[in-house]
Amino acid sequence: MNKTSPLIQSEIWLILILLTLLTWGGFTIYSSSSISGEGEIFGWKQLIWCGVGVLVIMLALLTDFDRIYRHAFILAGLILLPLLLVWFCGIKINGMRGWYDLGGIYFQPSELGKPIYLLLICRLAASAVDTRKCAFMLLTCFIVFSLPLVLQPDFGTILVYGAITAMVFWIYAGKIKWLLSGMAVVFMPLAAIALSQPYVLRRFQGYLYPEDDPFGTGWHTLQLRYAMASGGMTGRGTGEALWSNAYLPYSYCDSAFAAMTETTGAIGGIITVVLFVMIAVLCLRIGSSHPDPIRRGFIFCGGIMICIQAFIHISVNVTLFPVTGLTCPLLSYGGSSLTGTLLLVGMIFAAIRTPDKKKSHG
Amino acid sequence: MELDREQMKKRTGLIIIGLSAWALIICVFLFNYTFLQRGKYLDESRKLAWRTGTYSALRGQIISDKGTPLAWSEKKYAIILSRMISVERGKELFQELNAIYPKNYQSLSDVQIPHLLCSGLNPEQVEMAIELQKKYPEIQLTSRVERIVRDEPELRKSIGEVAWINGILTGISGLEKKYNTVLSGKDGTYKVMVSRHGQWIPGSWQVVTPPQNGLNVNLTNAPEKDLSK
Repeated sequence: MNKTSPLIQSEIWLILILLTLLTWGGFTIYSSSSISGEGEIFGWKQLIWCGVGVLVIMLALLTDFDRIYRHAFILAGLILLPLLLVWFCGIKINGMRGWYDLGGIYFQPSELGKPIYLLLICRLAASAVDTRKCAFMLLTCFIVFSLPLVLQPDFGTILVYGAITAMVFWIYAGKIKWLLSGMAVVFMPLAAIALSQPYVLRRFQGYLYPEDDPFGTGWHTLQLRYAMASGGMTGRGTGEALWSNAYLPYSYCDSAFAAMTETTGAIGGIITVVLFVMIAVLCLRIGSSHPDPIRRGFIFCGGIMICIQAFIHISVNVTLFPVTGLTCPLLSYGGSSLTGTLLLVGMIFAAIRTPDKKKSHG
Repeated sequence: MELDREQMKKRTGLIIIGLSAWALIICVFLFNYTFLQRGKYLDESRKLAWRTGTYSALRGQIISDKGTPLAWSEKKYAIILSRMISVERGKELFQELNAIYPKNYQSLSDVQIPHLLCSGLNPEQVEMAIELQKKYPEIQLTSRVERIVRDEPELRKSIGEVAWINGILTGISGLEKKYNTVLSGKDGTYKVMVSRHGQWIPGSWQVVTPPQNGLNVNLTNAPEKDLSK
């Protein structure tokens, strides 16, 4: 039997899971806005973005991963610039200045920046000579990318950037003391900044005691719970998600998982969680079999990044975490989010598929 | 730093264990809200969103000896402004409302809420109003049953009048009063889910107890005689 066949099987499974989540997401978006009459509009828009995403995947696949890897710093600079400029030229949506208005199409640079950021930190970690340098470079990189996000402010994305930085450091350096010290150094000032924002404090109050102010700060938290309760174990079915249509805020993006649970029930929700874990497991399986250590790290961290963002989103939706505006990769509506995720998918497959030159030369 | 395969396996294995534990906690929370505490949250959400109302029974007709309806009930639709609206938005609303129900709409600056915008909408206008309501949550489409009597003064006198008493259309004079019990029927009840803005959610309307419509009253050759019987 061919030696690579289990690997190819893993790749096929990965593609199938990604497609399942993407389709599932489309149904969620339709179901959570169908009664209000906007379901088809959102559905079509998402389909168009899927088309753009597929083009992005193709583009990434056609590009040599080594070339992308070599140009990580230039790409990071190219994404950091719009991240900084959005504060001056961007528009404010839901209290966050993080979007560019490109003639009716809203573009969020922080979403597209996620795969580039991952590429950069993987490159920095791989090139570091020791743990100290690795920690310093990753911390610096995280601070540089977090500053424009603090200004927006977009604490949900900072959380994703922080979590993936910690993961990359752990994989490359594996020093738990350094990791905890680094997290403490970053967490303290970030928590101080976050808690100085009145809206963050209100969200915490609403998260801890939603019943105290059900029509104010506790509104979103309670609506998430009501939507899940409405779905029960087996769900209400497509187009029947009354709560998501009438009450749940941002049911098609920030509350996509709760909306999906109302449609498909806890069973659908648990399957989704399992699918995201499988993405990480499959990326680990594919990555660990790769002969090139650079690509090995990137493939696994890419899978982890998708899984972590999804888990933060899901944790907010099951009210395990306080409310933060973060979309679910592949499930939520949003052009920038979907394009960013599919760019990452494209880069993962480019890393898998690009022939290993060292091996072929050797 | 070179990523050694064995080291990577150990470290990534720990991450996968961590993620699996996180997934488990999520599933516990999910199970809690969809099963264990479902009843509590469903009760709370019902109180917040579901409204019950009276589903009026249709009052019976008064029919002449020749089979001609002399008095009957009709459902009339109206659009009311149920919440304050900005001047700019009000102007846009009037423009669109004019396409549905052409009328010279008065300025909304000093009106009292609720404010009647237009009434007597036909079925086509009702459909258009439902669409308009989605764009302007400040307006509400309302309906009420009206009693219509043939336009003959003598007949009107014999038939008598009706009035809304405790939310029920009740005969207060003439034949309407005499045959009130037969004509009235029994109201039913319904429940419906309303949005944050108090609008009905399409598809959520359910009958709790169906109404029992009133019976028709067939008269002899002269209504006056029926009245004096």
